[in-house]
Amino acid sequence: MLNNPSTTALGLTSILIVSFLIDLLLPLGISPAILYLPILIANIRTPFPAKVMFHFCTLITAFIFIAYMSSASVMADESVIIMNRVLAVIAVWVIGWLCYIIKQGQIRLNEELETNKQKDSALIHQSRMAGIGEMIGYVAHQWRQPLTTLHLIFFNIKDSYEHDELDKESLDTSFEKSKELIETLSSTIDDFRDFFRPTDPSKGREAIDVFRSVQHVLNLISISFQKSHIEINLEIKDTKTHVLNYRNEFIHVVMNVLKNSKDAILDNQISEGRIWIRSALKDDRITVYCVDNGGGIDESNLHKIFEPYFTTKDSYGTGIGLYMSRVIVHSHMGGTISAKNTITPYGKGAQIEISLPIHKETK
Amino acid sequence: MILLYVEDEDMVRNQLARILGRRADSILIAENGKVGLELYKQHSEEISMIVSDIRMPVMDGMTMCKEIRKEAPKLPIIIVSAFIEDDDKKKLNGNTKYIPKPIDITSLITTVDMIKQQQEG
Repeated sequence: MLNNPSTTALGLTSILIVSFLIDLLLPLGISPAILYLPILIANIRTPFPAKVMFHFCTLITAFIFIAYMSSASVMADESVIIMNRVLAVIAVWVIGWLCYIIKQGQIRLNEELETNKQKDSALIHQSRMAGIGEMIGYVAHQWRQPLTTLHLIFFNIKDSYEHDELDKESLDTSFEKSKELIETLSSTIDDFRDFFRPTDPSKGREAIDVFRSVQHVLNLISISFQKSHIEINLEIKDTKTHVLNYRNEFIHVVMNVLKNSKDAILDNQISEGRIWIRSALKDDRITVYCVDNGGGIDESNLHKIFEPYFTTKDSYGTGIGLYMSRVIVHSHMGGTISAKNTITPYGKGAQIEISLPIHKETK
Repeated sequence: MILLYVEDEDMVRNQLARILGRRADSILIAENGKVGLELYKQHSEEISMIVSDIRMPVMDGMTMCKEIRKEAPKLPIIIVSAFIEDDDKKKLNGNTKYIPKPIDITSLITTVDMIKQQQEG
């Protein structure tokens, strides 16, 4: 069984090269298929290590070849035959060995890619899990207001009853208001549940509206940011621009970038925290800019912030958030993410730039 | 007794105004600190208690209270808020009470009734 189409292609190419070289070296009519045996074997899964199989098959081939050459009634000078035999064996061995090395390199590369992929997906998962505590905080803030109102409505129903003021109309009004509030609570839970639903790469990427995704993040976090006196200015135009991503991943990226801005603003004790989210359309790309006035990033750290486990947040930073964002943007969305320092009307800050290819069917 | 109630959230304001209204002779309602401060200035002689949220647009509750405190250091003020900074907490004195959100209505009513009794007694 051949390993995969690429090794098959490599094998076929090798057959051609070997045949050509053998024809060149030995104009005596030897079957290229026999000579290719070691290379072919090197591409087959066997219970023995590929290296052992290669040497074993090359030796067998060399014996078959020598036996063939010896038995053939070759009308040629003895020294030429010997030289041809030696050259042919060396050629088979060298070419086979090269193919073996290429194949091993390929295997190692694939293994490396697979390991990196697993590492990245483990980090993405880890990052999501790390965000759970924070998200529970967001839920608490989202729920506080409707819960307070519900509590007050129930209190007023009881109060009205005790004062003999409860009629059908006021009861219906209270009922409708309560229903509305319960729906709000329920939809908050749906939003958060969606957010934590794991990504299933087998389902493929889906087109998401950039504006709506950013809006969705703001719905989730706005109250928490307000509490920290941070004003978020959404300056993205609703251009119905779509990009491809795996479920919720872009939302996670935006969330991470905003969280970093928030942390910078709080760490640097900026009293009037400001975040601006802007966008620009150019050619086939949409660029989302997140600008804050959190004091900016130390120049020496600018090139490190997207590296795994790099953090300046001492005890509470995991160093995964921005790395994970880069993995998602680069590998899953075919985009780029970069950071630079900037000056805003409210002081120094950082700008994170996310450039994404627009999904062609909907642009 | 005239009570000034300041809250920016419509639904909370409508519901709590009804509850507080039962305990006051009259209730003045404002949707932010600025309106609250204006109402206070217009009715400073009559207002005997303030119930206010902190986080509000235009002018927050703490700024409004600070302004009012300049003229009425002894006026009872009840701060009702989900968010209160440690610095703000330190500013609370005997005449300023704090009720966290989600509101424990019983606790709020008890506080209002207690202040009312003190004033009447």
